[in-house]
Order: sequence, then C-alpha cells, then structure tokens
Amino acid sequence: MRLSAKFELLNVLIVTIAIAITTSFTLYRIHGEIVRQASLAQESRLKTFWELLRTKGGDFRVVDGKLLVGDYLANGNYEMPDKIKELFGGTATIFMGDTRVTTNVLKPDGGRAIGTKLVGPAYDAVFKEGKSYRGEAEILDVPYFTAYDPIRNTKGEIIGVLYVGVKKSDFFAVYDSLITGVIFMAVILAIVLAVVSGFLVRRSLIPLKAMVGMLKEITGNDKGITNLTERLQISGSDEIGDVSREINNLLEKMQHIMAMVDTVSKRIGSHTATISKTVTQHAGFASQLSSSVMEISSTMEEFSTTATQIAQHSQGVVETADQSLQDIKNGVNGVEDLAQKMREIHDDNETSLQEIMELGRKSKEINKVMEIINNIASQTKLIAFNAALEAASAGEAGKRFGVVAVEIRRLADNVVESTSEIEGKITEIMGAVTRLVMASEKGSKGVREGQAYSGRTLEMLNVVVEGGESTSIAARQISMSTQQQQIASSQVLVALREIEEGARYSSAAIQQFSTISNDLADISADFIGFMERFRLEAKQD
Amino acid sequence: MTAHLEKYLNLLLFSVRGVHFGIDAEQALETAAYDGEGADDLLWFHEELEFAMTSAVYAAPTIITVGTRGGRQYRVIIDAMEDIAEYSWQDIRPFPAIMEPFTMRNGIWGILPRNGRMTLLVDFIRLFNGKPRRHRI
Amino acid sequence: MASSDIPLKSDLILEELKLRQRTREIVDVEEERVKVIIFTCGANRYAFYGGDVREFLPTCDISWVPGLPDYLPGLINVRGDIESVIDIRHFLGEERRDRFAGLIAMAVRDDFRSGVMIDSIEDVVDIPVSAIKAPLATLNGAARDLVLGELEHGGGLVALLDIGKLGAKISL
Repeated sequence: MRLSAKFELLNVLIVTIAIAITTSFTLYRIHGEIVRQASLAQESRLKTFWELLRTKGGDFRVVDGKLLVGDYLANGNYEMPDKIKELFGGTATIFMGDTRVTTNVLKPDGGRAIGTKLVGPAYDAVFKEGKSYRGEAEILDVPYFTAYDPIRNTKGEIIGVLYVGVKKSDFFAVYDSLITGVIFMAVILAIVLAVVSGFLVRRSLIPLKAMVGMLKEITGNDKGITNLTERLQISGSDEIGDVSREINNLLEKMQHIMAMVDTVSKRIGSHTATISKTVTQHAGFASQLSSSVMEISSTMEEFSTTATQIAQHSQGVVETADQSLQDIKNGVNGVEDLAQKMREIHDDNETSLQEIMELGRKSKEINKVMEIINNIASQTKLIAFNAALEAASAGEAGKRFGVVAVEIRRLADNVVESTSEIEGKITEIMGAVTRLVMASEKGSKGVREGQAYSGRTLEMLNVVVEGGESTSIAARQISMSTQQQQIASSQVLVALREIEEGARYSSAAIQQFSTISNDLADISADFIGFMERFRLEAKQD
Repeated sequence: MTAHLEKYLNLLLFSVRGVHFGIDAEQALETAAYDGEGADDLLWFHEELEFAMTSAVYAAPTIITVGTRGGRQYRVIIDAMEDIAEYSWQDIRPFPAIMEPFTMRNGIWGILPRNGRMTLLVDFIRLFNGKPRRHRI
Repeated sequence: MASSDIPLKSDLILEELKLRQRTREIVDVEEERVKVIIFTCGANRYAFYGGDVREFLPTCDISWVPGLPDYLPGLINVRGDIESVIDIRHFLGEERRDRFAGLIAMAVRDDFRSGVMIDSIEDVVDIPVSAIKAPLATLNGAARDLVLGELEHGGGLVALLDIGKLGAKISL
C-alpha cells in the first residue's frame, strides 16, 4: 500500500477512534449521571410517598385484606400514586403483600395494573431478605428505574411494599436522542476529516514524490550514469526538507568519496602498470642472477681445488718444520746441559773462593793479634829501656837489674822477631791466597766467559728454535687457513646453491606476482570503467 | 795537718779555641755579654795572648773588664765561661823552667791540671803591665 | 903419653874463651863504659847519653800553650807532674810531621829538664867511651850545634847529641 493511503487510513482510524472513544466516554458518563439522577429522583419520590403516607397516619396495617395507613385505605385509592405522578411524574405503587393494590401503572389496555404481583429481584429483596430494593426492573415488560421499600407494620412485619419508579425511557429519552445525534455527528465528522486529511497528506507527500523523482534522476538517468553532481531542490523545515538536506549531504560526501576512489583507482592503475614492468624486470634479473651464480659456483670449485693443493703443500712444510724444530731442541738441550755443568763448576769455584777469602780474613785476624803482641812487645821493650836507664844509676844492684832488663829486652826482641816471622808467614799465606784468588778469579772468569758463550749460543739456538717454531706455527696456520678456506668455499657453494634456489623460487614468485599484477590491472581497469558510471564533475555545457 | 794555711784561689774558668784558661776572679771587675759592638777598646783574648792564628770564632763571647796597677781598665773578650770556683794553691803547678820565660810574657803564670787537661792560669795585671801593649786607641 | 899431650879441642876452646873473658874484664875494668840510647828521629838515628835520660814515656797528649816557640809544642802530664816537651826535629833539621806517634824521652841535665820527642828507641847499650868519635864535618848545620860525637852502632854511624847544648839553645 502506498504511503499516502497508509497515512489516510491511519488518519481516519485515529480520528474515528478518537471521536468514538470520546463520544462513548461522554455518553457513558451521561448515562451514569442520568442513572444517578434517576435514583436521586427515586429517593425523593419515595421519600415524598412515605411522607404523604405518613400524613395519613403513622402505622401501617393490613385488616381484612385491606391495607390501612392509619385510617386511610390504600387499596383502590389512587390518590397517592397519582399525586406522585402529578408531582414528579413516573409511577408509584403500593403493594399489599406482593400484590399491587394501588398504582398508577397502566396496563397496555389502559387500565391500572391492580392485582398484579411483584416478581423478580425486588420481590426477593423485600420479602426474602427484608431489604429495600433499588434497581432497574421490568414492569409489564417495560424497563423502569424502581425503588421498593418494605412496608412494616407496628410489629415490624412486612405487610407490603412501597414503590416508585420511572420509565427508563423517560430519563433516557434525551440520552437516546443524544446518542443518535452524536453518533451521526461523529460519522459525519469522520468522513469529513478523512477527506481533508487525505487531501493534506497527499499534499505533504508531494515533495517526497518529487524527491523520489529527483533521486531517480540522480541514480540512474537515461544514460545509466549516476550523476553525483545533482542535488535535491527541496527545502523546507519539515522532515522531508531535513531528509532532502541530509540526502544532499550524503550526495556531497558520496561525490567526494567517489572522487577519491576515482583518484585511487587511477593510481592503482598506474601502480599496477609499474608493478608489471618491475615484475618483468625482476624476472630478467632473476635469470641473470641464476647465470651469475652458476659462474661463481664453477669459480668456487676451482678455488676449492687450489686450496686443497695448498693445504697439502703446507702440511709437508709443517712436517719439515717440526722435524728441524726437534733437532734444534735436541741441540738446545745439549747446550743447556753444558751450561748446567759450567754453572756447577762456577759454583764450586765460588765456594773455593769463598773459603780462600775466609782463609785470608782469618789471616788478617791473626795479623791483628800479631799487632797486639807487637804492641805489648814494644811496651815491654820500653819498660826494659827504662829499666836499663834506672839500672845505670842504681850501682851494683842496678847492674844485676840491668842484666834483667837486658834479658827482658831480649825476650821482647825475640817476641818481635817471632811475630815478624809469623807476620812473614802470614804475608806469604796472604800472597798465596791472593795468587790462589787471582787464579781462581781467572778460572772463574774463564768459567764466566764459557757461561756467557754458552749463554749466547743458547740464545742463538733459542732464536733458531723460535724461528723454527714460528715456521712451524706459520705452516700450521697456513694449513689451518687453507682448511678454513675450504670450509669457507664449501660454505660459499652452499650459499650459492641457496641463492640459486632463492632465484628460482623468486622466479616462480615473480611469475605468480606477474599473474597477480595482471589481475590487479584488470581489476583496476574494471574499476576505472565502473567509475565512469559516476559523474563527479559538473558538465561543461 | 800542713804547716802553712791552705790557701784558695777563686778562679774564673773559660776556654778559647779549645784551650782552657783561668783568671783570678778578683781581676775581673765586671763581666758583660758581648753583643758585637765594635769599640776600639775591646781586646780579643786570642790576640792578646798571641794565639798566632788569624781568626778565632768565639761561641759565647763575654767581655771582662780588667783593672791594672795603673788604674787603667781594659776590656777583654773571652769565650765559653765555664765556672767560677775555688781551687787550692797546692793544685797549681808552675811552668817548666824552659817555658816560663815565654809564658810569663803573656801573663800565663801557672797550670792547674783539672779534669785531665791543663788549665792555664792567666794574670792580666802581669800581662798589661809587663808587655808593651798594642794600643788601638 | 900421647893422650895427655894432645890438648882436647874442648880444652882449647875453653882456654880461648877464658882468655877472652879475662881480656874483656880487663877491658871492662880498664875501659870506661857509658850507656847510650840509640833512637831514631825523622830519617836518621841519633843517640843520647843514658845518664841524660831519666825515662821513656809512651806517646801522650801534648797540651798546647800559647806564646811558645815552635820547638816547644806544649806540656805533658807525667804522673801529676807537668813537664815541657821539646821537638828536636826543629834543631836537627828533620822533617816535621804533624802527627806525633813516637816516644818522649825525659831528659835531665843539671837544671835542664824537659821531655824530648823521639820517634823510636833502637837500643840502649853500654859502649866504651872510646867508641865515641869526633863528629864528621859533613853533618848538617842544625845538628852540628848539638852533636857531641859519633858512634857506630848497628852497621851505621849515629850522632851523639848533647843534652846540655840543647838546654842551652833553648834557654837563649
């Protein structure tokens, strides 16, 4: 269903329902009010009836089948009900027991409905429950608002019922007529409103139609091109206006985006072209690489062979070097033994020398002792001389004294002689010692020279040994280096193979890549084609 | 118990250039420290006694004022005052005969052997009265 | 008869010896002997009469006294007595050595008393007076004043010095 129809229907529905509800509600209230009024009226009627009756007398009794109020006879006495009718209108009845005895209710034939019985809920309420009854009831098939009060005698026995009533229809007459009128009005109103709203709706929706038309224009005109430069021309502050504005915004953004997309797609297009070119180049490189790798591989093979040869030769050198080294070491050992022997001789010499020097020192000490002895001898001599002098002057006793003095002097002289002999011996010993020392020194010197010589020899040998060792080391190093070279070259070979692999792989990859880039180019072309379906710039007319 | 009285001599002891001297304390009228004054009337001991050396270094020079018979006073610089003490005449020895003429001329009249060394006793009066002085004034 | 006629060698020897002894005694009795001291001073040997020398003293410190002539080096202390010391090298013309390591001979003649510095004693002997000869004229000047005479000892000539003259020289 079209939106406009929907709106119309909705409108009608709403209006109708609104009116209906309002009307119903009002009518119901009215109805209720009427009922209330009715019951109020009933009460006042009934009250009035009671009063009227009470004016007649105070007690109610049934005597001989006659209902008396005081002395007033109710049966067949139409005064009261008619009074009521006169005052209020409506019906009133006095029942004796459950039989109407006076009433203004008319039978269909026009006569009063005397002798008819009370039936229904009113009867139940009054006679069974002893209560008043208020409510609606049908009297002779006519609906009434009724009010029944039990009539009690002085004993409190229910002897009759007092009734007032009014035809519902009396009350509801207005109501009924109202209903009709109202409903009629409602219907009329509904129709009118429906038409009006239908018209209005259609009018409101015109812009929408227009919008739809424009959009159709934009999205797919006769050429099948989506013209994103066009905008809706609808203005207004209602929702349609908002929508059209938003649509315009959207179109704006879309134009923008599509412009970007267009740019991007063009770029992609150019890039894919580049990629294709590059891929082709790469393919070219990869094959070049492959061939280079093969060249290098063959070179490495040659290299490897050479390295092996060098290794073999250097091995030979190593063996020779080791051999000579061994010989030299043997020589060194010999020299070292010699040096050792010489050291021993030297040490022995030194020891002898030390002992000789010790001997010399002891001799010197002896000399010192000699000196002391000499001193004593000199002093003794002096004393002897002095004694001699004294003796010269002491006469005969002096002569003997003089002799003693001479003897003492002689002793002193002997001592001196002995000491000088000893001194002489010591000097000889010292001389011998000195000569010994000198000889020993010479010998020592010779030993030292020999040591120095052997030391030098040793040094030279050591130099040779070092040289030999370095040769050996060098040869070993060469050997090692060539081994390392071999390892390295085999590693290089491995690497080259890997490169080759890599190159092949990369070729395959390039192939794939090429395919992909072709696809990409196609896609890009498609995209560009797609983009042509959008007008993104205003036509230069 | 000696026949004659023990006589004592109070000696002022000093040394100059390692040689020990003593003078009768009575002869020293006054002593004062020598502070380097260059007065003409100051006489150096070693010069007066003909030490026959060109210079002498005095460690602790002291000026002694000496009086003479003529009443004239002389001021002599001595060195290294050691002591003023009494000594018995019996400890004093005369010079050997052959030396005496020489020593007396310089006023050295006796020897006091003391502490293993010879202390030469000087009489300034004898010195200044006997010998022709070299007066510097 | 033959054994008693031929004298024993030992007898001969004894006879000779006894003869010599008697001669010596005679000589001894006849000859006056005098004690002399042979000493060295400097490079030469000299002698004193033994009677002139009281004693010899070993080296001791000489205390210098100012105002004395060169030949009087100073004083020495001899067991409490103060004695003078004479350096005769001054008079003998001997080379002077600063360090004196010799002896001191205590010389006494009459009033003259002094120690005399000598280098060493060679001998103290009795010799006959006749052994003392007159001095040679070739002695050097300085010594000549002091020399009494010469004597032979130990294979050489020794000048005998006169203490008296020494004393006189000094006293001047």
